[in-house]
Amino acid sequence: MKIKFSINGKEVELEVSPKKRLLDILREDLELIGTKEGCGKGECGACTVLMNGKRVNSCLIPALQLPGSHIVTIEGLQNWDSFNSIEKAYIEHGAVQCGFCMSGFVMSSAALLAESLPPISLEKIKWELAGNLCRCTGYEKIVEAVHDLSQRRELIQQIRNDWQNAFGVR
Amino acid sequence: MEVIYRPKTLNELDKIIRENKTDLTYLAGATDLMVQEERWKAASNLLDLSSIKEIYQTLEITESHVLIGSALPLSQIISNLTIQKKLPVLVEACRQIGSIQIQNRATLGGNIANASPAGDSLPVLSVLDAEIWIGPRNNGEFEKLKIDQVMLNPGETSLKDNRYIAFISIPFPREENQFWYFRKVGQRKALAISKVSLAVLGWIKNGTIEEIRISTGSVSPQVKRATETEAILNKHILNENLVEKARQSIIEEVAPITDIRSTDEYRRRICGELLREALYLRMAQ
Amino acid sequence: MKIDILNLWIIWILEIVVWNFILKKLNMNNNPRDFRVDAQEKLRGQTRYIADEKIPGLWFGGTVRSSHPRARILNIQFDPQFDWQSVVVVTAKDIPNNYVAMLENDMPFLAEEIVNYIGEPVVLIAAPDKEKLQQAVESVKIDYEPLPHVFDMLKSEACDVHIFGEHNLFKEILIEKGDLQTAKQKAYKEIEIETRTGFQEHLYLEPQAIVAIPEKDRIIIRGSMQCPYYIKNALDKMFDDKKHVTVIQSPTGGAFGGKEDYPSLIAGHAALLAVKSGHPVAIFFNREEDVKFTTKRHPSYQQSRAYVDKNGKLLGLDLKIYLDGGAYCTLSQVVLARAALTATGCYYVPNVRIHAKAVATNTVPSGAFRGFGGPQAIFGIEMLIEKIAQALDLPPQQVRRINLIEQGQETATEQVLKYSVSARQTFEDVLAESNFEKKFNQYATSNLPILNKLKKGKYPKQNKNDTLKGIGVCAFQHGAGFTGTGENKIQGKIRVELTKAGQPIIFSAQTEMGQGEQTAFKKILSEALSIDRNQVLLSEVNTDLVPNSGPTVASRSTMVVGSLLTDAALEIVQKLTGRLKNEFGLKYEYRHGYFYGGEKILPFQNVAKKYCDITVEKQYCHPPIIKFDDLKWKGDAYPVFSWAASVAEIEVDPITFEIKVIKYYTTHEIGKAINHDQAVAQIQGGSLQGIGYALYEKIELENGQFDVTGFTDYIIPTLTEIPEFHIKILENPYPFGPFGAKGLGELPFVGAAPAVVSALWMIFGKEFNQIPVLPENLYQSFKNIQTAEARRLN
Repeated sequence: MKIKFSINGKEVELEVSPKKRLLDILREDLELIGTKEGCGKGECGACTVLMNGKRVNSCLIPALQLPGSHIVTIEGLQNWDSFNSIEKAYIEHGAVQCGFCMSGFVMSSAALLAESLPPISLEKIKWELAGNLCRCTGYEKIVEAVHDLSQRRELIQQIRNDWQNAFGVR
Repeated sequence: MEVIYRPKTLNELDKIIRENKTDLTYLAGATDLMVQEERWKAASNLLDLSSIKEIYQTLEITESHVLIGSALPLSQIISNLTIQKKLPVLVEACRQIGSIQIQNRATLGGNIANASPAGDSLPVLSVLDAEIWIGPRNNGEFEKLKIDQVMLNPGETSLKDNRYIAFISIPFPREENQFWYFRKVGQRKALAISKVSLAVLGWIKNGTIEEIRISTGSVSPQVKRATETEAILNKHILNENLVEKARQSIIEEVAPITDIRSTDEYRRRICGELLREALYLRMAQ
Repeated sequence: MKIDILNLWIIWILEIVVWNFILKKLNMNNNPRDFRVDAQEKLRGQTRYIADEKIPGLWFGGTVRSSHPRARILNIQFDPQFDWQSVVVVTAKDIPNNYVAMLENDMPFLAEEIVNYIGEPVVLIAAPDKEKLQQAVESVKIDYEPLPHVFDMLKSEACDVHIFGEHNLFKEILIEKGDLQTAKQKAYKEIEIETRTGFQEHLYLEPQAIVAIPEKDRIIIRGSMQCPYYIKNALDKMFDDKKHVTVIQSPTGGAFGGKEDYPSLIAGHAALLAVKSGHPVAIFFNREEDVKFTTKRHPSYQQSRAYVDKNGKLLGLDLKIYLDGGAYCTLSQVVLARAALTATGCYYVPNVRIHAKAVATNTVPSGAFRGFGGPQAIFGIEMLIEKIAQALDLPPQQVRRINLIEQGQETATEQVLKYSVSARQTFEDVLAESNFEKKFNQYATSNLPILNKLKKGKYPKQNKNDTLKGIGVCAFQHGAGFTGTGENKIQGKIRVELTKAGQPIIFSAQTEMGQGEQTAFKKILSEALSIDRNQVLLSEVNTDLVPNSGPTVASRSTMVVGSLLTDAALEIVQKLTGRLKNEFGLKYEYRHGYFYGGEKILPFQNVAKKYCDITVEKQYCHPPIIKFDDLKWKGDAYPVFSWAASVAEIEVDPITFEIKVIKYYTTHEIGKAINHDQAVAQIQGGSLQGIGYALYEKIELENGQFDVTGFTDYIIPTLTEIPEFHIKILENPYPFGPFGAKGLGELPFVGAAPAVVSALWMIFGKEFNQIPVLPENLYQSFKNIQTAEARRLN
């Protein structure tokens, strides 16, 4: 089937099988390999992307539901004004190890920061990011990085502006 | 070759069903469907319920009820301030389903249609006496069923011949003297399929239970009310003795199994413990 | 005797002198903000793991696997309905040398006559796309004659099923020291315990993935791996040295030992398919295949007996250790060795008998996993200590305290610990940091009313948030580097060259798998040369380019290979000053990044640019003071040990028996933290994996097959399970490690599970001797307490 949707701000039109997973469309048809497959069952979050302003597991989105959607992947997120700060926090807190889970975590972190009202507690961060699994880090430095980001009101505002630009919604 | 339907309205949907004698596979969030490899592979006539605005977006709140579209993502229910206030037990259950990524896609309709005894919203819909509105409409009317009339056995619903879940209507339980309890016990706190869950909704006045509704998850093939245990509690004074009687009753009333997640013995015991906790928490107030 | 002691003193003094001299020369920086060199790329999703690479003409390889635990292959049927021309098939007869080169060479790439475990590869298929591949795999039917099999590791030796040798014994080790009879006679008490540890799955986020690319005269292997030279060796042997094999490591998304030996098997598979088809072939496991058929941590069964005096001092230990190696040997011999050598834990024991066996069973072969036998052994000894404490009614920390080994004492192999011993320091430090004794008493008191109510069958909570609280301690160690003479057998080699721009470039076979190896190596060399970290380059890990520095395992990369880097730095400086002298007739001195000679001050880069033909090669061998007899199991089992102690504070919900680690204190002594921040990160990650091993990660065999399929039913900790981490790093330099560094990678894992389980002993006053402990297990244990209590009251 022919589907038309927006990916990282660009309109695309593809001919794909209606059951094809968004994850595969990203990696194969669009050659956006930043989104990873860890389990294929929505249980690890490595494939997290933003769809119509919400974070979702792209391994569980079928092509037939994509028409008219706005998708943002890590390749798009890195062009956001707020990305550098997010990236810097992760780097400076030493939160990256093998990196395979990272694009998923960054997407979920951006969503968390865009959606929540500061101050965001440690407990809330842990709960909200619990859909992303990591085997290397023990999560602690990821939490520290996100907690650090969550204290910065200007950054939160910036993320929300980026969000607004990407999805036109709050 | 798959046939895909993405109707825009309920009328379109009903028309497709009338004109179509093949078996339709309904999907909304697809989070349960797509992980069932065989089923997903075999599905050749797919109908996307989320393309119908009413079913996807409806969250209609009135004085007495809330009407929820069966394809409304759970996160919309969880974040709604009125629902948080009036149906906290529903929010508590939905919050614990999967992860935020899952909640942004998963739906009440899907939870019901999947008919898993471990479906976290089901015991709650049971105690809330939710009404499931089933289409297609007959003379403009939906068929209205309760949870235990829809969910027959694990993986099996009473929805034959392309009947679909359109809405879930939940009456707001009266607030005076109300107490509620929901607890899910899984292998971990997030991304966990429930081992045991318990939903309780009750009213207690001057130490006497006016009415109590109890429903368990993952410990019986069907999700239904623990009516025998309810009978022991209803109209009685809530005290330690009564709680012990109720605990022993619910342990007998459930029919848990041993599987990859837990043992029947543990599940049985925890059921009793959760009920006891629910009642003790209320007594402590 | 006297002469020996004198020699020792001389050696110690020499070491201290030499060490101080080196330290001054190298001037290590201690920067807590050590940002990783690979972080940005990973955060942007730009890192290309092998499945992200675009490889033109790529085909996909799949495996038809045995459905029997042990059987004779009678016939392989290819369904005539399927178009077999559209795919390529490989069976055992296509393989020149059908064995995966590893210790015993007993595992075939493909089963030929006999299959030995459910899942054993029998037929390989390559197809142009995944759908076709699946169809083809489903169109193969294998006829078997089932044979008797054995699943139980304790029955394996004596049974009639001969999987390996006469008695299914991959290896047997006997370590004896002193005289157990004396210990028995002097003992106040004999304490016994049986312990068990389960399988564990690595569950790296990136599943196994290898691509083989055939070229005219060579085959290129790329993918997710820890040890490119292991793969090269295996494929060289498989192809009978008739093909040039080039192995190139791709960015690797987690490994933990699971990509140490296993990739050699699938690399062989991919290579065979690639050669036969003429196409590049990818073998990319999906999660289920990975969980069901790749190597797991060796399950263990241990019988321990201690002879103690009335203070709990260990007079003798008699230990029997069994490891389940699965159907093929893989690394079981070395895992067993480490288990046996770690079995006395952090304690001094004068009389020891350790009898260890690794046995074969008809199950998926076990393999390397962080800790490598150490965790199993530490669990054994620490539970024994708990039992001693309980039997003698002594505080558990006290029993440990009086037995901790000191510098100058001998281990079970009579290795004199000459330097860098911190068992006591780490132990006392973590007890102090965690306020152990105070909390122990506090929790014992606060638990009483809850336990009483529980035992009587009453509602156990007074207040909503009442929980049972526990605190447990574990002392643990990890021998850094390869066991015994291993490093001298490997003789790891590195090379450092200078680019035309004057940048040093490191050629080593060490692999980055998330632990921070790239960052550490750049830091070590740049610090040693006093130049900016960005000036140091790392070669692609490609066996055509890099020498064999040994595998990235055994916590050896920083300590062993890193020490070659500091040596190389010294030699580079020597060579450069030599060149300057030859050219200018002046003696130059190198200080803090500059060459000083006469009136000239020359920055490193300029000089390096000028003489960029300079190459330095360094090869490792143990300092002569390290000696091990691997036939008698006597001597220096490891060049040095890293030490740690952990305290776990847990809460048990008295309603559901759910267990959560609330706080995790750990003090690690690792010689020198090359990158303090990333060392902390490794400790967090390893500790959480150890907590998973104790409380969540259940994987069991059901009729010879694993009962889990992936993230859904193999439960690892999520963000909601993490404790509050309190991590301290102590430094007690190892003279032969770079800047004093020892091994770190595995140590954090080793002590987490015993600390958690010790806390359960503390709460329930009962023996817990098996991991994982799930709420269901805890409930069963508790039921036994209740029954015992009821009997007591009656």
